[in-house]
Amino acid sequence: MSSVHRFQTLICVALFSLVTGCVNAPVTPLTERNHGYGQSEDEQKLIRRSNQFEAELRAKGLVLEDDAVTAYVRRVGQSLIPTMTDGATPVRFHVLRDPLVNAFALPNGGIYLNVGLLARLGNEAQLAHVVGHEVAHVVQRHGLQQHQSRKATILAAHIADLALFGTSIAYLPALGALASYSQEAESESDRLALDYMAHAGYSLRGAEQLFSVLQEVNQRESIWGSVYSSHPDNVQRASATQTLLTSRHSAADGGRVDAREYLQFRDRIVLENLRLKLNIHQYALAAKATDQDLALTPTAVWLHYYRGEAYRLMAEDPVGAAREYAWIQDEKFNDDLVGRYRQLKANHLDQARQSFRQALSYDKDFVMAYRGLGLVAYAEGDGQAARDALNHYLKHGRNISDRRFINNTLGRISP
Amino acid sequence: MILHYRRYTPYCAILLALLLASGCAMTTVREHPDFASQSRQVKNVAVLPTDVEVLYLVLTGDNERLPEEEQNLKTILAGALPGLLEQRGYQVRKTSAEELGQIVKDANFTIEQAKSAYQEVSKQLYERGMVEEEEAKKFRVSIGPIGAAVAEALNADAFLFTRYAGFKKSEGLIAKEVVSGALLGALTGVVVIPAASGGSLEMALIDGHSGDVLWTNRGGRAAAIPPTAIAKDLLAKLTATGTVAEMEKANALAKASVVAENVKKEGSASP
Repeated sequence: MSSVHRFQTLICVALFSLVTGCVNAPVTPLTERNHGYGQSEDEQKLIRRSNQFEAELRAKGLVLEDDAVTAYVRRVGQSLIPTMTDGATPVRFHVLRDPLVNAFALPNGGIYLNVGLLARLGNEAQLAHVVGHEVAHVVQRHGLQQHQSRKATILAAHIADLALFGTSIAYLPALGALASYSQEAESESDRLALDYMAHAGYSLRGAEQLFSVLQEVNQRESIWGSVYSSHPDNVQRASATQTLLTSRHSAADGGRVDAREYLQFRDRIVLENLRLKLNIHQYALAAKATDQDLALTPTAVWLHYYRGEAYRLMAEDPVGAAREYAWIQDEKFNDDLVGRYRQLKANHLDQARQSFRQALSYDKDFVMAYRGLGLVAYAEGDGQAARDALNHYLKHGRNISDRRFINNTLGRISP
Repeated sequence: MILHYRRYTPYCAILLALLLASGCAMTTVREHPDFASQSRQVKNVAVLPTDVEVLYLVLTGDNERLPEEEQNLKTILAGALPGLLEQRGYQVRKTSAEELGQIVKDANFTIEQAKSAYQEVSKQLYERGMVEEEEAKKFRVSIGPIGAAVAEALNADAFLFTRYAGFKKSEGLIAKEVVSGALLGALTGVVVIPAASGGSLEMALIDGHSGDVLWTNRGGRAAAIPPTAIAKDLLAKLTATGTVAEMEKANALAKASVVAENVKKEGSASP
């Protein structure tokens, strides 16, 4: 390293330490007295932004308005909230119509669980760990801590950036500092979630199971940087949880799991999750999800229908299917890949037809299967079969939301 | 020698004009191959409320949305878009977010889903930035039944949605960029002047029966002018470009006038 570089690095480190040290202030959890929630300018700003964000989610119809689903999540959530002192924000629970495997907590106390995550869980104890983790973020005011830390590191990075003559190299360590800080908060939330679960009487084995479930989640199904996405992080989290269970929670095996009630709840969101996945062209992921659910409930006609739709859309949209493949496998998207999907068209249509027929074998009056069969026949160029099946769907279907689209397809079939 | 070259000048001018005429005009417009026939079926178009996001970028990284600026932009775009469609012979149905919620239960979510579906196909549409005019007419993509569901809810043959994303920098951030730019300039000899604000605008016309993306265009700009001026400028540019057929017509006219001008010049220069 040249003396100039060494000098620049020294300046960066000095400025970074100086600025981060100046800006950070201690943040008191909401379970302690005199926490002063919402009093600082920074926190007021965060609360205001959270409120705006929530209003937008609601205006866009992204918050699931299903009383039974919301009541269930609320009941589980309320049982996990520790006793908070005066002036603390109320914690609220919502389900978000988003197929990504994720959950988040806002500084104003709003906790959001995505249908994509809920559809992955197998029992209430697993849900309790997710919810407990998010509750801990609110209670410990991690949003405010992160905000202060982020301000400090970015400010330091800007100053260091100047010292490095605007080459922006200083942003790299700043990003690293942010990520490690977040992990501390995540670890604290994992630890507190176990305490909340134990207090509410849940089996702490739910936490271990949760990490196994998350390790099965493809990194791409979540959001970059989310604790619900990264595999190595989840391996570490599982190991840390195991240590805590041994050292602090000797009765981990006791307590409630509530699998049956959770699966009843889950039934209400599984189809929404599949529909949302297909809308954003996650065909292979939707097909995989249906296969997993069909292993549990092999006669569920709607699951067969969505499996059929996943394959039909793969055939109809080879570019989208190829793009999804490249995205999941982290491979380069190119014309060769699209060509491979084009070659698989007949095979995918056949898989789709089998699924629609399977649905009809369990319920001969299931009209959605006729929709699927009609669109498969249309894609194969079998006009007569397409017309028969689609007309059957239009004639016998109730509350058809895509009548216009189907009529348009019928209009495209040559006489 | 000079006279020798002058003999060939008219031929060179014509050759240049022909090269221009046959040449590769590049565009960010994307059109469905059946655009001409499908758009003839479109009588009325619903204009969805524009999605606008403008960020105030500050030195600390604690960036804020600018609600007033966003509202101004929404008003400007909502005022301008219907007229631009009417000029092209469409009847326009304007819709506010409140009205949408009242028309059909869950209409806003349906529209969000349509927007998500468009975002997906948009990756396909804009894999390459600029394409030749001839290429621009070959984009056969659809957002599927969700597009038809939106149009049915709005009782329209097609719908237009627009999205604007912009930023405005604080004086502190600009000052920092000026200083670091100057330091870098002292070392490299290249000085970069930071833009005070910028934005990008994307517009898409979706067929309300098939969900096909009929026409779309996008553009961006960064400059030392307010975000509203940038948005107006982008809107004018994107809509002036218009459809590929309009572009071809305008190009042909421009090229014909270049040829005529050159021939005229040569004629007057000749003895």
